[in-house]
Amino acid sequence: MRLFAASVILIMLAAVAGPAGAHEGMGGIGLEARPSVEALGMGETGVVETRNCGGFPANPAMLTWSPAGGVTFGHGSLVEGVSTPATSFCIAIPLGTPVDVPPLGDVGRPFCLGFSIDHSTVELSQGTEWGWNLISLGASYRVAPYASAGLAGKYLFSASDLEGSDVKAFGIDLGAIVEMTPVLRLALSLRNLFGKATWEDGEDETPPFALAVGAGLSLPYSALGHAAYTYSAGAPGELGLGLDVPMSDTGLSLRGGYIRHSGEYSRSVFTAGFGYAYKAVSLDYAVKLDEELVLGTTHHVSIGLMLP
Amino acid sequence: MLKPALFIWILMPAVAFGAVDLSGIRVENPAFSPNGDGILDESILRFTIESDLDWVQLWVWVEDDEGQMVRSLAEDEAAEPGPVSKAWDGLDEAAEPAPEGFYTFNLYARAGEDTTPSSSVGTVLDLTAPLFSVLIQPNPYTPDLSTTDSLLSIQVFVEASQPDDRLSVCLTQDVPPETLFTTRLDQGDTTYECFWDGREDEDGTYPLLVSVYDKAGNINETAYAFDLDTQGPSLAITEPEYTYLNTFPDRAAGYARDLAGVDSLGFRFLADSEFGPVTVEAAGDTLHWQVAWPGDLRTDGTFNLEIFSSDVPGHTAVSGKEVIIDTQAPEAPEIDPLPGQVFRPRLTVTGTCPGRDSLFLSLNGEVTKRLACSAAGSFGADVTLVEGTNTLQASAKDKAGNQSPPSETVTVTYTKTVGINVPERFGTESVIDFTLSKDADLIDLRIFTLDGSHIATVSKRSPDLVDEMTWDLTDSDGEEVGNGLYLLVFEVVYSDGESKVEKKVVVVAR
Repeated sequence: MRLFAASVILIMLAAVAGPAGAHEGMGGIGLEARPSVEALGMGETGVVETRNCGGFPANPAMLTWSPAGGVTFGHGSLVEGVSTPATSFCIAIPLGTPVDVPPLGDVGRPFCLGFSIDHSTVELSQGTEWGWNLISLGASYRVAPYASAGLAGKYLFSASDLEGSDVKAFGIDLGAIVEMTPVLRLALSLRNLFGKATWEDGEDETPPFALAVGAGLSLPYSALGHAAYTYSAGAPGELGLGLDVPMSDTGLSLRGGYIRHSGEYSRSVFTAGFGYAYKAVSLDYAVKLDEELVLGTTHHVSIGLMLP
Repeated sequence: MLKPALFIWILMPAVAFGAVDLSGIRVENPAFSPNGDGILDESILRFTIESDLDWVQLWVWVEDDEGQMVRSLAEDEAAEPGPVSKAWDGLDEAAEPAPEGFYTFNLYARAGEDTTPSSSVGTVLDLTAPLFSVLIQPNPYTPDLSTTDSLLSIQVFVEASQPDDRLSVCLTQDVPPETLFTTRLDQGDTTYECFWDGREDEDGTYPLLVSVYDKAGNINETAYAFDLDTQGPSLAITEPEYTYLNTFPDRAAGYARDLAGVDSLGFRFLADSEFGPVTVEAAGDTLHWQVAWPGDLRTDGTFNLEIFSSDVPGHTAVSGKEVIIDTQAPEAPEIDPLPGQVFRPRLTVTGTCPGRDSLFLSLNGEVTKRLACSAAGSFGADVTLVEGTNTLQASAKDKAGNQSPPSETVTVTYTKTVGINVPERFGTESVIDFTLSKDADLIDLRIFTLDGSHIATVSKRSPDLVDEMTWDLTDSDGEEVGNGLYLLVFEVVYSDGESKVEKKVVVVAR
């Protein structure tokens, strides 16, 4: 039954993957939310799972996968050496009676709504600031005790003093998570479906379609292992691997990750971080160690609060 | 069986005395013209010798119509039986040309004791082609004015032509010539006529070649010409030379030309006025005319000069020219405000110049750009500043050439700053300026999206200290990238081994 449900979801999602080739060249306005700090520390493998709501823009099905709702506030930078502050806020509101799945116990609510907003600003080459906001509204439903599916609508708008450069864009993300066995989870998300970007002085464009697949493995000592592969239309693929190791009962988890960029300028990027949870409050930190000639070293931090 | 002595006796007469005959005597070309043109320059006599001997004696000579021998072609010549030809080149025994006239070939042959009778056959030595005269009418040929003379008539009167002589009439202005008429002639004096329809052809003088060929190969050719005239005189106003003038002209002048002759000329300065007389000076078929510019018309304004003319057959023509006299200088152009200080040498200067034609932009006292004012009355140009204080000034000219006073002087100070200058809004024509502090071997520009995906790499080797480079907005596969934010990472590798990295973010928004 689980295999059947997983197959159905994967086939449905693959069926809407058609627009992948619509974009001619690489790049374009991204409708991608910044990965959660937890996922950043684990090689940007956020498609698989995260504990707080910061992960749902990466996979809308994540909303019903977290054990409870919550609020998360994050901050970080995008590029070392350039002023690129990025701030995010999200809230997840679970609905319905908690689902009890033996032997896992309470695995969350059957339905969940989420809202997130990412605000980012970059300092352009001559000092002008170019900022944009990405708003996501998501909904997820646990279609079975071992499977969730989700949908999110995204809207991006920019604000800048640079004449003729503003843009408005929208798109839809679809996501699914299936628990194949008590220790193995598979996840998939399709991003920027039915998207459209309208530039102030230019013609309409289609935001680049992206596909992410991932697997999560429960390891001994409550450790988690993640693997994810992201393909964005026209761009080389990106492989991410991550590990989360809890430090006994201290509430502290140490994380490490590896990202492999393929293509003409292939390279390896390492990430690291930690998470600390105390009662309903969680604190996460991640550092991304990219080459100096690319994004450089960037730091990211978030604080979350679980809702009762 | 015959005895050998009797056999020899029977054959003796044939062997000892022989038999000969001449047959098939004819002249290949009864008329010939030994003028060296390669056509029928000889008269050729052909005949056949029939004999039972291996050779015969042959006599051939030419006599005139009075029976006097003119030329011997064979005298006691040994000839073998069979076909024989003898050619006469029209020369006498003294190698002098024989006069025109009728001549006979005479011949006989001898074989042993047998001699043929003397035979004769005639030939004509002809050095003169038939004479002719030509009448072309009407000339000039004006098919548009006459219903009766819509075709050009060409009459050729040929004297004393012989049967099979030929006549041809050709128009020779094209290569190959156009044959209008060709025919074989009758004997005697005859007039031949052909026609040409020139109603669809252009005016001009058309050359005509009339040729008569006789059977002897003599050619009589004569060139003629006629004028086709269906239009009025060709008119031109050569003064004033230009449409826009900033001074008052002294006169208007030009010319009128017609192959059939110019009959009348009239000129006016304004469209609603009467045509007036002009002063003319003839030169061949051309009349040069001029009119003094009236004192009461020495004002700024628009004049519609018109010259009217007719030719002798009656065709008319009008030619006009608009002349705008503007003696007023235009107002000074304006340079849009510029920053007082800049840190890159390239500066775009814009401004307004309504109603002006061209604009002269001066940098530090010297004209550095000559521009056209747009239809909207604006201008724009890139100038390269020198380090320190730069003064910019503009002046304009209108279409008549009146110079405006200079604009107000704008001062810009360029402070040389080492670094890379990248337009924030990047387009296909954007240029990246850079000023280096020392010599460099290489500048690598790597372009990424903000999530780290590599887009393209652009390199410039051995750049100048002040140089520029571009990115054509394509990725490494040559496809155009989408609009969005891009991280530009510059790596400068200096000649001394040092390197430096600089990052810039731009918005690509086409």
